[in-house]
Amino acid sequence: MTNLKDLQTKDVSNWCPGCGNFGIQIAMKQAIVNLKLDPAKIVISTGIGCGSKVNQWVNTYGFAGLHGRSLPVAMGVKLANPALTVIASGGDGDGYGIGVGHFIHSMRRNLNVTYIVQNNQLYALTLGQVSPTSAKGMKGPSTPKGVIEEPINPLRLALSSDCTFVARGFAGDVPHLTKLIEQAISHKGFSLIDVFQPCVTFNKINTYEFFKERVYKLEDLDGYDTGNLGMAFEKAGEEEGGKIPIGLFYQVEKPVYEDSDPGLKNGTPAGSDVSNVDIGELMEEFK
Amino acid sequence: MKDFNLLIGGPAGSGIEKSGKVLALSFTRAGYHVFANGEYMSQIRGGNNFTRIRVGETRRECHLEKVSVLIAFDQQTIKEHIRDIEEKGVIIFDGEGVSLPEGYESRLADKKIQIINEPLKKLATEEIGNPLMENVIALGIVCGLVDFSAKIMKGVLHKIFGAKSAEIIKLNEKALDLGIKLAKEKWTNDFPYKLDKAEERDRLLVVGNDALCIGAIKAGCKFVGEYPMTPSSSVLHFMAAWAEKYGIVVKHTEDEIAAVNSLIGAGFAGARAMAATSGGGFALMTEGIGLASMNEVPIVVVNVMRPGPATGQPTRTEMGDLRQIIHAGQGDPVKIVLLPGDPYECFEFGFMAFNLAEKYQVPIIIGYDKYLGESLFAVDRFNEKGLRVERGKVLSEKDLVKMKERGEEYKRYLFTEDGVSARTLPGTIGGIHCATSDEHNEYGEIFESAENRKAMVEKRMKKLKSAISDLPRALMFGKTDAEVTFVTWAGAKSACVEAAEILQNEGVRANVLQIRTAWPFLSEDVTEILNGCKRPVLVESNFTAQMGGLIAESTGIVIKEKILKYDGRPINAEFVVSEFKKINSSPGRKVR
Repeated sequence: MTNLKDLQTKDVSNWCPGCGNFGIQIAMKQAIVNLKLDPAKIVISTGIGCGSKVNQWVNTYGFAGLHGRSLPVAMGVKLANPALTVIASGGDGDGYGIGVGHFIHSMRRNLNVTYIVQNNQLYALTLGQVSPTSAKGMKGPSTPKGVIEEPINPLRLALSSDCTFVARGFAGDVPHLTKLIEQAISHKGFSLIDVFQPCVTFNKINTYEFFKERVYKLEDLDGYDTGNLGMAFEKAGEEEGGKIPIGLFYQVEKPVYEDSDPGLKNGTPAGSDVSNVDIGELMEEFK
Repeated sequence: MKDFNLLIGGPAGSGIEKSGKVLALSFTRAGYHVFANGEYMSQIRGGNNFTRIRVGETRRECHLEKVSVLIAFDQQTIKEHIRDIEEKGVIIFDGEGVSLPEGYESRLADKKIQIINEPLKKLATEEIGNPLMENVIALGIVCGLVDFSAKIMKGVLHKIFGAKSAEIIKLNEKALDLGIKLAKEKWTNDFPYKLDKAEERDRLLVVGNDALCIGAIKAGCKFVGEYPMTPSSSVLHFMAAWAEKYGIVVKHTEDEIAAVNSLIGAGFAGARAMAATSGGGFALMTEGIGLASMNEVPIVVVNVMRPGPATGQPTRTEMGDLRQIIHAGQGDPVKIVLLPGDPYECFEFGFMAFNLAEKYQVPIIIGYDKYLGESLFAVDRFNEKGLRVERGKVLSEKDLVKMKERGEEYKRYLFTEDGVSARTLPGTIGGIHCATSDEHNEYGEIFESAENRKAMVEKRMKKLKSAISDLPRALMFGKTDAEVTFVTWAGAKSACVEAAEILQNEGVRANVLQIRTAWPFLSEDVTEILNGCKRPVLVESNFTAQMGGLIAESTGIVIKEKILKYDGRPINAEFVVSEFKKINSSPGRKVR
């Protein structure tokens, strides 16, 4: 039986006091405990950024790689050993900026991987530049006159990329986020949880108060259907200023990649005995 | 027997490559040594492609410029190669599509070259019932000219085209018989080559990339993450074709960045993982090479080189990425770079790379040129004896329990004598850790201390020293008391070996030094050998003499005489001999 203490590392996290990442980390740990997963059977793959440090302080197997590349590493792990629970995690700059190509391909690939994005709408670790999800007009050291581009809407991007589980959480509501992470890990296929993660140091707009005033839960909405793509797309576009929905937007069952890969039909790459591979038949082909 | 050479050329998409393969495999099956190389253009239709085939009784692994038979399916082939036909040779073409340049009939007659101008397309349409059979009629003519076994060639046609239908097989055989009949009736009289051997030899016909893949599969490669790039793509295709049979996950990824990072994920999880690419794709993988080095993950990356920079010449050859692969990555990543020089070494290094990767937990890079990667070689069945899979230090749950009982703590990046710390694979209870690309302590935790940083750098570097005794040492070919030593690597090796023999026969004592490991450079070995060489001459295909530079900085020995080629075309023995003669007339001169 795994408990929260088992997931505690010796080292303690060094995020700023009040950082949204604390809430996300607690929710991840609680979800692992609630699902009764063995920490040794979990790999958390991360990129670079404040949120990507999450696997330093959750006692599962971890791989802290390059900026924007948590998903390809997660793919390699999952395909080499599909029995593992694989979670990829990183920030909005990591996943929607430098890594956006992998994000899109991961969704159409539909590996059984959970992707949790700590979305603070800016680059914190490099001291506050704007990110692909920063609101138009937002100012930062790289855009002193304000952002000119439109922000990416990660949920709409996911919905149009055949993502089979699309959700949004809020770091300020840990019980709700915990539930979402449990659902995402249990979902058979690629799951995205975009999490509003207030950056208390640099983001003076998208604060805890900002979100607390605005977020509401889709599950509280009468008649909301998580199997309705059109409805999900509409809700994912709900404008700022008004209310912002969180929760599970969309879920669909589709075949997962690893179940169709011919190379996985007869075993697991990571576990296989390769001490005496017979290449006789292979060489015959060249005669 | 003098080596027999044939060139078949025509527009892309007209079956030149397949026809060349039929000939090459037929001669291989009959027990001959065969080398075939193709030149093609980066387009799907049109342009000019050709395949050269060299057939003989001794092992030769480079092409000759002169040909005995020229088969031309387009005007370009005639224009570029008509002067290459030897005395008493043959030119085969269809006068309804192409013609001899003006005045050439008499020139060919002077060289006693037979002109076989046959309406191949018309014959194929009218007599065989399919215009596409023109190639096979031409193969039949060759078969008849050299008295080659029709039975063997039919068997090969069956193998290569047989899958299509019984009807196609019949047409192929009919077309081949027609060609043989034409040759027998009209022209075989004086042709100086007879290839009438028909012994069964246990030989394979492979390109260098095939040999590498066979070695990788033997080694238990179970994961390939790759993005297509000429001239490495045949590795991706090969591994995909055999994925199901051998249980290999082959992922054509969205780009080379995803490819290398997926290898790292798979390697971390405990699968033997490989990708092949060329210079441009390798550039994208560079940050990943550093990641594998830092997190100490075993991976294998193959760079099959083509001329750069940028797009360069996608379908041509060059040995121009040596500096790129040895220096890949910021901040001195530890890595091992191997340079196979023939198909046997592609197999051997393709196998060995995975052992080295897991034993020393480093990225292994295998580099060679398109000329080696895509040329066809008749080889003896690869020798599996003595090949032993070594998976390095990996701890099981049992090991970890015992350690705990002894009061020992598991540390993923434990400082050790040889620099190698035991891995635990995800899923192993008791071995949890985070592999971190930031500088880390023995546990893998991010750690900024100066003392730890120094110790970790030294730990990783130590692994290269530990690996040295396992790395392929430089090889010498030819007699030891040579006046001249050609110093070379990868696909130019065979040309140098043959050039040395040619010179030897002309009274110049020559031998060859082949560098087989580029990183870590085996300085002691190479210094010792070069100190014993009277006159080293560098041979490689790039402008800046990249191997020459590496040798100089690693050994202090500057090789002043250089034979360099950078026109995108391969180095062969004739080129080495003629360039050597040029520098020989003015020693110390650099030839380009």
